[in-house]
Amino acid sequence: MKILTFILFFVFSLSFSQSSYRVYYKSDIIIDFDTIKGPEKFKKTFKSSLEKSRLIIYTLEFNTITKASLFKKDGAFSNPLLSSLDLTLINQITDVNGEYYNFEKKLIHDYTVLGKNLKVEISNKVNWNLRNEKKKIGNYNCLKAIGKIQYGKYKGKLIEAWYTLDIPVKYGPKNYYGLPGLILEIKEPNTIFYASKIETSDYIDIKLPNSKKIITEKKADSILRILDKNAESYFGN
Amino acid sequence: MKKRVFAVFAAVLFVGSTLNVNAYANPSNNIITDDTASCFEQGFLFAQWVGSVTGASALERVKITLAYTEACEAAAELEN
Repeated sequence: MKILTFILFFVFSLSFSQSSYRVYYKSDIIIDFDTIKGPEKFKKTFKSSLEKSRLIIYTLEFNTITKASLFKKDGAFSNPLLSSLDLTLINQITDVNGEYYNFEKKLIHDYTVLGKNLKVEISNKVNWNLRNEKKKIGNYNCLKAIGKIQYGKYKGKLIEAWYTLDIPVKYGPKNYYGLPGLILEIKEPNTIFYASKIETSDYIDIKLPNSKKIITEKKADSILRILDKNAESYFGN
Repeated sequence: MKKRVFAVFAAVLFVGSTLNVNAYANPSNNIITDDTASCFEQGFLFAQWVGSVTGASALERVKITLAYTEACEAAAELEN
């Protein structure tokens, strides 16, 4: 009986060990400043901030047992070299705000704007077009996919993703989801997000947002329109 | 944070009425900068320019204005 109990406990523990992953991503912003018109002082300030984008680390955590994931900026690595202005300007291009959850095939974007918290269910997922192109990223064999962005600042633009079947999960950075393997690199207009490190982990408990507070994209858009309208009057537009 | 931002709105509307901020911009995006302008005014212009380059919304331009102002004031304090 004791042996049976021990075996059951051992098997139970095994099923929870290494059930989760933590993937670290960095970003590269690609903008040709020679083609941008404007005061040199402003261009210099903008460029100087954007060049620091590599100092920001993002993490994607996912649990293969609960089938939940969370993507966000990693606060543990907040860098004193990054000012509030740097972060604001970098965000202008990378468009990463708050946290991105994936669970029960739902994508939730949880973020705060001007003190107002929004938990938005992203209704349209990217329809991926799988390509035959291959490349190696680190030790992982990757395949290419092309899609159209369905949410956020770059909605309607094309993206290019590289995913690996070596880790057969559907997750990726931000709200990019649904490929046959983990997305290790994603190329948006002006930004490339790339995985810099992958760790396996014991069970990561991903605390999901309160489902009662989740709103639709349509509702979020109407709230943002009101906030933006108030801001527009400030800029005299 | 929201109260702070809207307090800034109110302050700018009052101050802006005594300034001709639009004199600093022209339609060809060739915004004239003025280093004698206050940090807030410089931030305002910078945000307008970033907005013209990136398509930033008015909300985003408010954030940029505030962040620029904070950085500019911090730099000015270091110099003094």
